[in-house]
Amino acid sequence: MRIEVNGVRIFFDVESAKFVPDGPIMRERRTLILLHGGPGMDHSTYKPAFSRFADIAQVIYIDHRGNGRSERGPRDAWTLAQWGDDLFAFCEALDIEKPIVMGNSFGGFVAMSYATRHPDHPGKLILSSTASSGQAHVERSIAMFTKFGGDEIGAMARHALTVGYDSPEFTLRWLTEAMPYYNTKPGDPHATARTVMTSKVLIDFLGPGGEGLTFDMTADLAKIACPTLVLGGEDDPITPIESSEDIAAALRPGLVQFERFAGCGHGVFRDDPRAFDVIREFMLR
Amino acid sequence: MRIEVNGVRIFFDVEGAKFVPDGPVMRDRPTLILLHGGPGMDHAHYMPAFSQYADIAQIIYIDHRGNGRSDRGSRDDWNVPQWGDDIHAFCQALEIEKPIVLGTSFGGIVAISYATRHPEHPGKLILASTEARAERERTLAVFERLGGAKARDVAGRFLDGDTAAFAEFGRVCSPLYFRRHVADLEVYGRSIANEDVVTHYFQPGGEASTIDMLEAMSRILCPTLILTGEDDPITPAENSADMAARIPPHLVRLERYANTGHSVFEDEPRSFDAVREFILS
Repeated sequence: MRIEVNGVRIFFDVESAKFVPDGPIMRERRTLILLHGGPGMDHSTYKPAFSRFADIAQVIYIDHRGNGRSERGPRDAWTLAQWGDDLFAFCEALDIEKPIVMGNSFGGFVAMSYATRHPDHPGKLILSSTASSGQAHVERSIAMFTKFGGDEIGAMARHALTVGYDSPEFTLRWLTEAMPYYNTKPGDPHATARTVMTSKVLIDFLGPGGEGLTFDMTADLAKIACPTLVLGGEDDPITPIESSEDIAAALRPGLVQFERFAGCGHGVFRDDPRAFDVIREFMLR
Repeated sequence: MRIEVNGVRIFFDVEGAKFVPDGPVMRDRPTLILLHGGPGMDHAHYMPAFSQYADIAQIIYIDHRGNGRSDRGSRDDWNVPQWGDDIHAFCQALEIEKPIVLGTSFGGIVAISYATRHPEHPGKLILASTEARAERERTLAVFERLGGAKARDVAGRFLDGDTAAFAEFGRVCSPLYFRRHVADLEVYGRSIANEDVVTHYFQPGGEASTIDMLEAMSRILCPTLILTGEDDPITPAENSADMAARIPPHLVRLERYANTGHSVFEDEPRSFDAVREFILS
């Protein structure tokens, strides 16, 4: 399905019902909205793993504007502020109240944008393998890529994180040569083929001067007013664990649960299925 | 979720993703829209039985305007053409193309309205225990066959829109809807009732007795499965035969089940298999 939100048609998919029969009543369940990473990827990166939450929630997948099956829209609206506002407007258009919003990596940037710009809206947040700043731990990130992949990968990381994805050739090299070091375990070999890739939005966001290299929402995180689960992998080279520490430290103390995973890279649930248990407990709490 | 359609917020629920991972591709599956009966009930009566199709389709449950969790809207808009147009507009708002639309009883009447007013839109139709036109004498004859002269008399007063007879109809005639099924009263508890829309629809001279879409059914352009029970008193099997006769033979399939009342899904488990085969065909 697609629905018009702020002038563009936003694709969404739904895995499970909001109301389920339970003896004499219809039981209302939580809504879990999943925000994909990238940008330039799509919601399919959450399938089939997140279907597992269909037993406790209505699971909704969204393709951000400019991504996947959503409309591209004007290029100057490919901003974290717009993506965050789109999520809010999407919920308004569909009468979705107090959602649990989960974002992994870039999806986490969008989740933080949404939650800091509309603090009364989310019910809970799950910020997985993400960062509140595009610049805070660049040297740490380069050091980790060097450690895992050698000097050449380290040099590529320096280029990606200080200059940006400045050509299609570099972007392709990054995706094929550096990205394998994001995780500590092999992923689904078909996952990339299943994804509708949009390199334009990726290069726009992470290219020279792109918002991905310059944004910093850290100071705004204190505005977030809902319980927040922060998940980080200790072997994540692209959003190092220090980024998750920054997020946890910037959130209001009574609202944050920070879980760090040893031996895990980017997208902790990909490397350690125990992350799913942590997410489940957080959702049910 | 709810979405604004033709000026009211329409509730819908969903089971089963539209796109599912299948090796290197995302497989696009059909959309099955379920239109509930009544009116005055809601989508809950399809649950949990219809969840079984989540393995082959994205299932969308809708509460018609004036029903369940949808906005009430204006009473003037509680009519079959509007309910049919709402389904079309709902699909337009959510970019749902070529849906398989299944309606049971009153839901089937809405499905017929939608399909005859927007013939290019549906991918397939499933009309279960429904009719395009009420046939008073047929209904009274089946009630009499199943429940004797008393049932015939009470049903006659109900069909005349005598609201004083509604309670007695519920006691004397409603049990005759089922032949094999033992009514699960919890189902009714799970449904949000709206008596206003019931009395509006069944009022003397209301659409329950006057709607006539039988000739319009020749406009249907998509494959159509019609399911009916031989012992259905309220939408008798002959009404389904009349509908099937109006649709080109290569598009229509009629299944008549013996010892089956209203609806087929309550009495005849094979009806679920017929729906599955039709979705996959």
